[in-house]
Amino acid sequence: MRAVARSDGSRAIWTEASEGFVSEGGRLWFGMAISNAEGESAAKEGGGGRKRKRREEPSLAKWRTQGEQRTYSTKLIEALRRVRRSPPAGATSTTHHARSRAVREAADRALAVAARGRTRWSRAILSGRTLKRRIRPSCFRPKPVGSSAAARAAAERGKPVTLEKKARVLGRLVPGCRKLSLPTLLEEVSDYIAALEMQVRTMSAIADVLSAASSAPAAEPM
Amino acid sequence: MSSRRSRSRQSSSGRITDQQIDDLMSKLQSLLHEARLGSHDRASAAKVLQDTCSYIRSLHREVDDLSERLSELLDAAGVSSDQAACIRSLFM
Repeated sequence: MRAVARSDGSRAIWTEASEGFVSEGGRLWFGMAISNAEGESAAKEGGGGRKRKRREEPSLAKWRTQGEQRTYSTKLIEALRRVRRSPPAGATSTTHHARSRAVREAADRALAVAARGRTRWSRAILSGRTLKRRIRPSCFRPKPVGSSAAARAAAERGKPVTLEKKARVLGRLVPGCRKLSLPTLLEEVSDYIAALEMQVRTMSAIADVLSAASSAPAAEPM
Repeated sequence: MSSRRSRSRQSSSGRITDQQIDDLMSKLQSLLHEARLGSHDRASAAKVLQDTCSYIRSLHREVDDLSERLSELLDAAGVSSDQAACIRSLFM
């Protein structure tokens, strides 16, 4: 498996996703099930002369490959360095919140870049990060009257309305997926979950490494 | 946003049946939640959606906690340990 990662953080990460499935698990059969929509979005967004072999890429297996995790961790560490340098620690406890939020956003942005723009959630993260933060409080307007009426209708009508409501809730959780049709939403969700899992794995590994480094600075067998 | 524009197209691959949606959903979520699920029947689409929502929320929480931990570690760590962390993380 070959992963050419440019350490300057540029998007030229030509990790061979189609080779990735060899190293981790056997998710190939699963990738084919949702390969249609992947192919459609890939064809629309292009990718600028990238060698796309066929539509059978295991689109979820890539999130479990070592190469992808290594790439992501490299970018994340660079982003963390920038976070560390830019805001000078001088304020009160608000700095901690601001820092952890900066870390979270840097991690999400790096994750979205790792998705290489083939999914809606990643594009939504990259294009609307600050906007999402600002409009979120105003967008979240709970309509109690409307929801009780909908609940009553759901009890009468049965499954479909409740299902749609839950799908809307799910769409709100994933960035950029509020108004998607159900099949598209499900594919975005599955990719998003796989990406989040990788993010969690990578961040805990980095945290372990950093805590080991800060606790035992002189004991590195290099 | 592109999501708003493309939404008007609805389903570009023709009519998608409910059965198809259900199958796809069960398959997707079952594969993702293989670690969490028991062997009970997960035929209910609503339950699958509910579980997925909770799972995503818990993942978000975990990422937030990790971000907090990382920001604390970043405050404490020196420059040389950063480089050591970099080098070591390449061997992950």
